Amino acid sequence: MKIFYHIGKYLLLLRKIFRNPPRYSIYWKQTLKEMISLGLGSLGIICIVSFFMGAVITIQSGANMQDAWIPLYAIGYTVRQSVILEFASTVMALILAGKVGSNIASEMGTMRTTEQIDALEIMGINAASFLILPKILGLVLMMPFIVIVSMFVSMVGGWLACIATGIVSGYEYLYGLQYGFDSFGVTYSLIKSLFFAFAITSIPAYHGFYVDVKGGALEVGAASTRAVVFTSIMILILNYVITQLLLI
Amino acid sequence: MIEIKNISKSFGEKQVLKDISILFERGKTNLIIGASGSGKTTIAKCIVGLQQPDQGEVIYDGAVFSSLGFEGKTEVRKQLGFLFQGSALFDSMTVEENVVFPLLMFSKMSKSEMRDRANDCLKRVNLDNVGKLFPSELSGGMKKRVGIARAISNNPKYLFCDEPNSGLDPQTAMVIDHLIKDITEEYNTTTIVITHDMNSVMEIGDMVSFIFKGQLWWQGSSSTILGADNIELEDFIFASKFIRAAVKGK
Ligand SMILES: Nc1ncnc2c1ncn2[C@@H]1O[C@H](COP(=O)(O)OP(=O)(O)OP(=O)(O)O)[C@@H](O)[C@H]1O
Ligand SMILES: [Mg+2]
Repeated sequence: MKIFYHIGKYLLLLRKIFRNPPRYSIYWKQTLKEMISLGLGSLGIICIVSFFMGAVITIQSGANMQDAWIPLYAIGYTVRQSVILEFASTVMALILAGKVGSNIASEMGTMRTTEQIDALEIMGINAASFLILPKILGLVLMMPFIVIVSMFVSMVGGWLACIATGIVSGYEYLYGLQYGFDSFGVTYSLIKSLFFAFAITSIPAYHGFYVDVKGGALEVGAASTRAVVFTSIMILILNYVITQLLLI
Repeated sequence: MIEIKNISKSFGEKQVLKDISILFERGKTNLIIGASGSGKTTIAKCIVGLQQPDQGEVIYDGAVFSSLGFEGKTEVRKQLGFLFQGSALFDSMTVEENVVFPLLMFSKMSKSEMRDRANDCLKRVNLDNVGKLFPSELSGGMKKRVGIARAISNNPKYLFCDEPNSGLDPQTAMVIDHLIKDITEEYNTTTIVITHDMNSVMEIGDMVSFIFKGQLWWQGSSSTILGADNIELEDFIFASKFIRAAVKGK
């Protein structure tokens, strides 16, 4: 039953976030700041993970396709499909849930326990909107860019793995990457990623914003862990639902 | 002018405030004193709406706060300066940005006017050349003073200070006390100061409310407090036997 309480409270928080926002000029500046810190700040880890993911998927599919009947370009094809459809959006979202999610939850939680949120409220500022909306907008705006970068870097990683292992020639890999390409896969991935970005920012913000102040710093840590767990589960559920809606 | 009427507040089983009514006049420094844990901060939070009193009402210049809509409450809050007991400075902003913040949100000043105003406020609390530092780089007493500078930067009509001079040396504490008194008289603000510092009580206590175990136990001014005939208040004031002997001769 507690889950319904939390869902209700989360929805009320969302309503608060999108209602009565303060001055737009300030918002825009905050949003730019968040785009840089949440978006650009995550590119490093996204690139590293994508690169190695791409390389490993290439080697894995190469090692499993040593059958004369399967053409070698199928390796490139496999890499492209898995990267575009799932890795660049869903797996990267799970990684961002860990990185960005825990960061947002602990920032909000600390602001709550040190009364900084009260200080905003008392000035007549809608603290939920002021603090959380720029984060949501910032990541939602940056997410498509992150996903595209991840797709590109993964494929580069795969290509370098081809060259390093000689499992398939670079030419055939590239041919496979382009084989039967349908741009809807990219659209599907980008659509998913927007929902993920919303979850990655709003769910941890909820956990941090309503952290139990009696618990102090300990509770902030616990809230941040909870935020990552719930966000990850939500990403998996959203992934399933959106896939079913878009592909079936 | 702020009036609270029959305010009661419990946390779970524990009743923290019992039926408190006080009138805080404009242009005067109204002090709330009492032992640690007696409920002083809770009173202030009930007045500004950070805590919801279980009973009673808070009236700002004739307007019942709880009956105001969102807009009305926001209007009141824009005119409110609040120093938190723990300062509550924004970690992500520099000292100057902290002090400028209320102006940025609500005033029509230009950037340079805001900066001048912020530096003015910082000077008034005896802080120089700290504008570019972050709160984490300040001492506890410095944070308190930045908190005061932030509270007064937008010329509030209602000023709340929760222990403005705890953690300050006696001299700086005196400067802060007089700053609060000066601002109150200059801008005719309704000022509420929470303290357990007897120096403050004697220096700036236009009206003093003594809270004991969540109840309003005694009310008077700095000129009447030493002669008050109230055991609990006496125990509070004369924690030191020596001072009690010196003042009361007993
Ligand atoms: N959010 C809360 N939840 C539960 N109990 C609380 C809460 N806030 C305050 N209390 C309790 O209310 C009582 C009064 O607290 P309050 O902070 O008002 O005291 P105070 O007079 O300001 O003390 P101090 O001088 O130490 O700041 C305390 O016993 C405290 O435990
Ligand atoms: Mg207190």
